[in-house]
Amino acid sequence: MYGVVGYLERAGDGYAPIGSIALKMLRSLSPFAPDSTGAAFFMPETYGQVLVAMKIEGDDVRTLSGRVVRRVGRKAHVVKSRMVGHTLQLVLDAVEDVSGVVDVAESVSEIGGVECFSVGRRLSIMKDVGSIDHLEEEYAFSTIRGTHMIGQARLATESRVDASHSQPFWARPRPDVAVAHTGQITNYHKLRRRYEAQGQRFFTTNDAEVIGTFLALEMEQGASLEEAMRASLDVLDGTYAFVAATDKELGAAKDFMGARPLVIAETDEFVVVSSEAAAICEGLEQELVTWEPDAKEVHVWSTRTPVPLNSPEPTAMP
Amino acid sequence: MFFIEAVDRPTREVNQLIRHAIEQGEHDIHVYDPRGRHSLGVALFQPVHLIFGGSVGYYCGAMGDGPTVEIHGSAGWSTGEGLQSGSVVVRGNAGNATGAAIHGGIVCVHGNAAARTGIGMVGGMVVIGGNVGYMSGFMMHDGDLIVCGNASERLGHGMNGGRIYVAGAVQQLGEGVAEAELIPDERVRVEGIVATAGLSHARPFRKFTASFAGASFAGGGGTENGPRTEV
Repeated sequence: MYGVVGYLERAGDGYAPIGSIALKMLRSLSPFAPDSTGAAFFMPETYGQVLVAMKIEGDDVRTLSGRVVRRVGRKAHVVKSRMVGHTLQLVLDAVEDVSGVVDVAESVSEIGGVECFSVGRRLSIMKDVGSIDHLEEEYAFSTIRGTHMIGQARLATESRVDASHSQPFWARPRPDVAVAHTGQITNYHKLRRRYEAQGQRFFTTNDAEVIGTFLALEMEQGASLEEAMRASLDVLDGTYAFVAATDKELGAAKDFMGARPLVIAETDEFVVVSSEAAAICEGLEQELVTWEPDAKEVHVWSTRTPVPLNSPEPTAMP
Repeated sequence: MFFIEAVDRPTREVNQLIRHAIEQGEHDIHVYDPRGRHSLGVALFQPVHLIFGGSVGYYCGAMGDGPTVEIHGSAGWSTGEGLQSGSVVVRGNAGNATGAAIHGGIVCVHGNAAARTGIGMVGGMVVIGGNVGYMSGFMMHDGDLIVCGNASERLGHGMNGGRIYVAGAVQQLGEGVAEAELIPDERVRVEGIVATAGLSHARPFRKFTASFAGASFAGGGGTENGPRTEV
């Protein structure tokens, strides 16, 4: 557990300073959450490209990352690859079928020391052990721009402290969906056994991972993010609050008892969510009217999705 | 008026400055830019007037005995918890467990208050200008919870005393809670409290109390439930 954050630009050019907002919000939570930190950023899309983030750990990271690039390269042209911290970030070009990339990324994750952190046209998850300032040094959060983000600062209570168990989690295998939570999912093991029996893969023992799996499965069946989040409150037992995001939306939900903190502030320009008002004050550097949703409340906000860069479509904003 | 700029100071230092100002005989203290910090202005036992110029975090004004605390912004969880006397006023919205377990004094929120508002109250008054969330008034022993807006599910669940007044809709009563008659004198008293707090209500108040035999009904102006007990 500790704290979650989320920010969504409602109107704008799609280049909001989501990285520096995440940095400031997570920094305000970090004194209470020393174990790990992370964020899922939704950045401007370049037409036809797919972003992949893979954790690479082992004695020979260079060789391992080379293997991953070659394997992924058989599916799509890798136009850019770089190691940042424990993460290999790939940009794939001319991809029509994102699910095909998901398949290859998941198959690569069978190599020891390799785990797919995220796949999407806009989503990139960056997470690691340590404080937000450590991530800023490695990932340069303050330079990241986009439409929205979710993040989490973690105080580990049950599962391991490593990059994999850090949050947010990709809602595998659904591209461009991520989730982060605070609290406990008390029926986690029961749900995990059920989903594993259905063929779903889990890479950690962090209970947030099962929220992502639930949302992904519901959305694969045609549910919207909001519908999936509402349905999750009837399935996920425990005391928790979570934030989730797709390439167009940011959502926030509270458990049936409202037993975990979550505050929201909205303006015409943006929506900001956090488990603490302090993170909102620090992240936006202004005094905002915050309010706390009731138990079982789900809120989802949409962003204006910019037309992909270099798109053959007209470039006017929708 | 004594001014404290909180923005670059840790919570401990802000609280130390508040206490130092009180020791120096200051009665009006204004804390600027609290930036949502937790535990500000807690356990103050003097009749000081303390103003926070912005949103605060958890436990603001908690465990006080005599202070008048004003928050010109929103407040986090457990605002004014355990208050003995004095008042805590939130000009914005408040989080969970607002006014929890107060023994006396007034906790007033001009906006909405979230789940479990006024839980475990032993006395005093919690007055909310807007709505209250899930399980508000849970395990109340005594005192008045006054809600000008709507109440969510399980209102007053498990209460064994005290009074809940709601002017808006009640989504669901908790177990052991029933509507009681609101006699004219009591209505005047509740409406007077609301008006004094600078709040308004669109509809007439309804009264809810513990329903089971043996519950310690403490008056509220004298009702069919039993004599009024001043606390």
